[in-house]
Amino acid sequence: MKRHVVTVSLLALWLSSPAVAQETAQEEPSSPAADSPVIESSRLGEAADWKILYAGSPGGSREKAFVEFLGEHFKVVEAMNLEKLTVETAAPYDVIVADWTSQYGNDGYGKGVNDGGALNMPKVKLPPSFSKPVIAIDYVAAKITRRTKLDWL
Amino acid sequence: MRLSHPIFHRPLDPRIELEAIDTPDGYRIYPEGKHLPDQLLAWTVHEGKFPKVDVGMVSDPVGFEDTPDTEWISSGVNSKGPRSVALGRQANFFLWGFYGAPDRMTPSAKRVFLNTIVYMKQFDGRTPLARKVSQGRERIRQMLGFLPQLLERADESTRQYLERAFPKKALEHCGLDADKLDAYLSERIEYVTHTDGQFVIDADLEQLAVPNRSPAFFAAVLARLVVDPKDPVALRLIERYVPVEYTGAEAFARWYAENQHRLYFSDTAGYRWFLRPTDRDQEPVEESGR
Repeated sequence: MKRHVVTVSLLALWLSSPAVAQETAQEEPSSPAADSPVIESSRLGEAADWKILYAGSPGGSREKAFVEFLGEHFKVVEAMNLEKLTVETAAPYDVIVADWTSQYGNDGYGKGVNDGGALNMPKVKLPPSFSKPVIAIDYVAAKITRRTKLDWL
Repeated sequence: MRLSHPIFHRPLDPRIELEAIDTPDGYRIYPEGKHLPDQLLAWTVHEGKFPKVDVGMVSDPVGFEDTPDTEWISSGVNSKGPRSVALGRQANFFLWGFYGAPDRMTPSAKRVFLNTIVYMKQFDGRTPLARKVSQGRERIRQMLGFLPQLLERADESTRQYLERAFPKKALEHCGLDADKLDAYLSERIEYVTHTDGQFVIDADLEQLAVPNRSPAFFAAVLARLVVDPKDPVALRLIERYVPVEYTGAEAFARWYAENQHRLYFSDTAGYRWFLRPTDRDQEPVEESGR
């Protein structure tokens, strides 16, 4: 199925539902200290002690960005090639972030599409028994799962 | 956008700020897009736009929540409709449909991402309840919205595509007249099933005027079995839609009484009734990560 070239960078909320728009949480005092990763980690509670796996394309800018960010908030963050993700390799972790590369030659990755090339897709398909929590970024959700509703529309 | 969802609240306060954007023109041909206001409130997840930043991915919203292991959380500006899923969950899998890595995410998006990690931990050990094997029937309404534009193409491949998009019986009655199809199918949408890649109006359901996805289905079947335990219509409907082998009217009634609280109907999992597993709580635990 062809991908449509429209940025998905915003979340939309109906203006006709002002009640929902008003359901924002109370504002906390804003200061550099309050926003610091150390402070926010303490607000994660015991979650900060979890082991997080970033499973992506090794050595790229996205791995660096995710691992650095996650490392500011969780005690243990490890990186692995997404193509090696299995029930066994996922077992030691609490939550997995599954990611891959740009498909348009952005962020230091080669162009996989719209330049006559094939899509640069990860070669991984998780088995139906895979039961670790996974946050799949962008098209990775459709690639790693088997006929779920997280499909590519 | 379900702003009440836990990922937008805890354990970190994301401090989401909403801004007004023009409603994308492409949303108007969708049934749920016809009456949208001129502007929508939106939250910026990451900086940068295509082509400097990849487009993300959205999933099909039709039938997305027809199994108890799914959550539609938010759409995003996209070319596939106002309710396309940009943030959503099925079982242990969460779709974060936006491409931007943390070095592009807004501060509030980073907090929501962290909240999502914390939220998802509770689904350790879950797996999707069913595979997606068919399209939800609301796809028919979407196709009706696209029909005028598609008919303008007037080429053979589009015509063949349209003839597969609607039940044959509807096309026999209405041709590709959008108004007639709309009227005809609106009356029969509850009798729709999906077989061999095609939407079908179930003649048995239409005869009984009973929806396949309502508890009224079981009431109608049981009523027929009381009169005749070998009623052929009832037996066909059980075989077609119910996850139990029929061994007699009393056994079936007993099975239904014992299991009706666990039953759910899914278009996307095959237009059938399913039993929710007893060892799973379909409602997520609100307390997470604290």
